Amino acid sequence: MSLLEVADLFFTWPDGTEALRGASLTLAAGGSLGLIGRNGAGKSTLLLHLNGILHGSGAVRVRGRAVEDWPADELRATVGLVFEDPADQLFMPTVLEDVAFGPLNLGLPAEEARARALGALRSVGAEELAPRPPHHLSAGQMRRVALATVLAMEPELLVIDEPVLALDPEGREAIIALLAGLPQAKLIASHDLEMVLALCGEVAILDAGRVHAQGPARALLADEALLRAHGLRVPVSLRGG
Amino acid sequence: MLAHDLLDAWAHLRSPVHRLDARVKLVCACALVIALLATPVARPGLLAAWAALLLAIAGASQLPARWIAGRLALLAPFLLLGTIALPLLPPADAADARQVLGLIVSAQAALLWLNVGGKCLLALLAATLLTGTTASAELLRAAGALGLPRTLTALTGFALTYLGVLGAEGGRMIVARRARGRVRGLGRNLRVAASMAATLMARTVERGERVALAMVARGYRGRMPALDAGPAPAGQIVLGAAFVAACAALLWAGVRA
Repeated sequence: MSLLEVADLFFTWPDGTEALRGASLTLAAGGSLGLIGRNGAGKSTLLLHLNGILHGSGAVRVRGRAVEDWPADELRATVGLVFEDPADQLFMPTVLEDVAFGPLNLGLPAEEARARALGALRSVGAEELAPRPPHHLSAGQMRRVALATVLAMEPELLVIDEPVLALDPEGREAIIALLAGLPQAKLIASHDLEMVLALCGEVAILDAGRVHAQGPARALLADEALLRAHGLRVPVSLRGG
Repeated sequence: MLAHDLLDAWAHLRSPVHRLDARVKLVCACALVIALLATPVARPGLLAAWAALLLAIAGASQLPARWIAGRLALLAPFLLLGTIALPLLPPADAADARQVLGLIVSAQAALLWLNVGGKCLLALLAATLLTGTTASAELLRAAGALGLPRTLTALTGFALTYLGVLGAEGGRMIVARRARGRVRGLGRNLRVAASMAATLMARTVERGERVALAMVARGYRGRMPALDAGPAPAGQIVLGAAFVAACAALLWAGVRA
C-alpha cells in the first residue's frame, strides 16, 4: 500500500484559475518523490491538499485513507508541510516557541512539547537558535528552523516546497545533506533538479495541473525531450559529453 | 538585520535591571506608573521623588542616555503644543496671574500642566526602561503569563515580527524605485507612493493568508498555545514585591505629608 496516493485531483481557485486538472501520483512508504514543473504548474497548490488545507475534487489518500476521513490533528501530525517562504512559517516570538507550536497544538503537555522542540532543533543543528526571534535568523537558519517546526510533530511524510530556494551554495549543500539524513518519506517540490536528483528516488512532472510522468529520477531527469516539453532542462550532471 | 530590531537594540546588556525576570519588571513598571498617576497635583515633591527613582533605575540599567533621550523626545511635540496653549487659558483672578516672557499665564494652569507633562514624561521613561532592558519576545511572554489574553499577545507578536518584514519589503521597493531614475514632480511622486502603499498592503494581505495556512498546517484551531515559562526566581519575586510596597509607601507618605 502506498503511503500517499493522489488520484484525479482537480482544484480551481476562487478567481477561476484552474490549478489542478486531474493530477495523480503515488509515494511509497519511506520513499522520496521529487515534484517538478514549471512556474504555475500547480506544485504548491497540490502540496496544500496533502494535509487537508485545501480540498479539491478527486482523491487524496494517506496510508490508504482519504484525507477527509482523518482527524485534522492526526493528519497534520502525519503529513508535515514545510512552506516555500520560511518567513511565512515562523511567526512566534522565539524559535523555541515556534517549534513547540505544532506539538502544543497536538495537545502535548508543555514540558513534552519543549523537549520535542529542542530535539527537533538538535536534529537540524539549530539548538543554539532556540531563544532567538525567528526574524533575526539568516536565510539558511530560517530554513533549518522551518524544517524543525514540522519535525517536532514527528511526521511520517515530509512535504517540502522549494527547500533550497534563495540559499547560497554552502547553505544549499547543508540543507541537502540534512534532508538526505532524515528517515521520513519525502515529497519535495522544486525547480532545482540537481537537488531533486540527489534526494529523490522518483520524480513526477507536473504541468498545467496534471502529472505527465512519474518514474525513476535518473531516467526521467535524463529525458531531454520530455523535460523540454514541460519547460524543464536536464540537470548539468546528467548531460552527456 | 531588519529595521525593527531597533526595538531590542539594548536588550542584550547584562545590567542588574536586564537580569530581572520580565514578569517582575512588568509588574514593577505598572505599579510605578499607577503610583505616578495617583500623585496629587499639589505634591510636586513626590513627583520629583518618582523622577529620582526612575533616574536611579536608568543609571543602573546601563542604557545609553542618548538612546533614552531619543525615546523621550517622542513626547516633545505634545509638550510643546501644551506649553504654547498655556497663555490661552485666562487666570482665575489677579492672584493667579503671572507674567512669563511678557505673557500673562495662569499659575494654576501652569502647575497643572507641569504635573500632567511631568507624569507623561516619567511614565514614558518607565516604559522606555522596561522595553529597553527586556527583549520584546520576553515582554510579550511575560504579559501573557500575567493574564493578558493570548490572542492579544499573539497579535502584538505578529505585528512586531511582520512590521519589520514589511518595513524591509517597503525599503526594497523604495530602492527599486530609485534605481529606475528620479520621479519628477509632486503629483507623480504622490501617485508612485500611493501605488507602492497599495502594493505593500496587497502583499500584506497575501502574507497574512500564507501565515494563516502555515498555522493551520501545524494544527492551529483558533487558540494560541504557549510554553510554560516556569516561576520567576523567588528572590526576584521578593524584590518585586518590595518595590511595589515601597512605591505604595512612598505614595502614601507623600500624600499625607
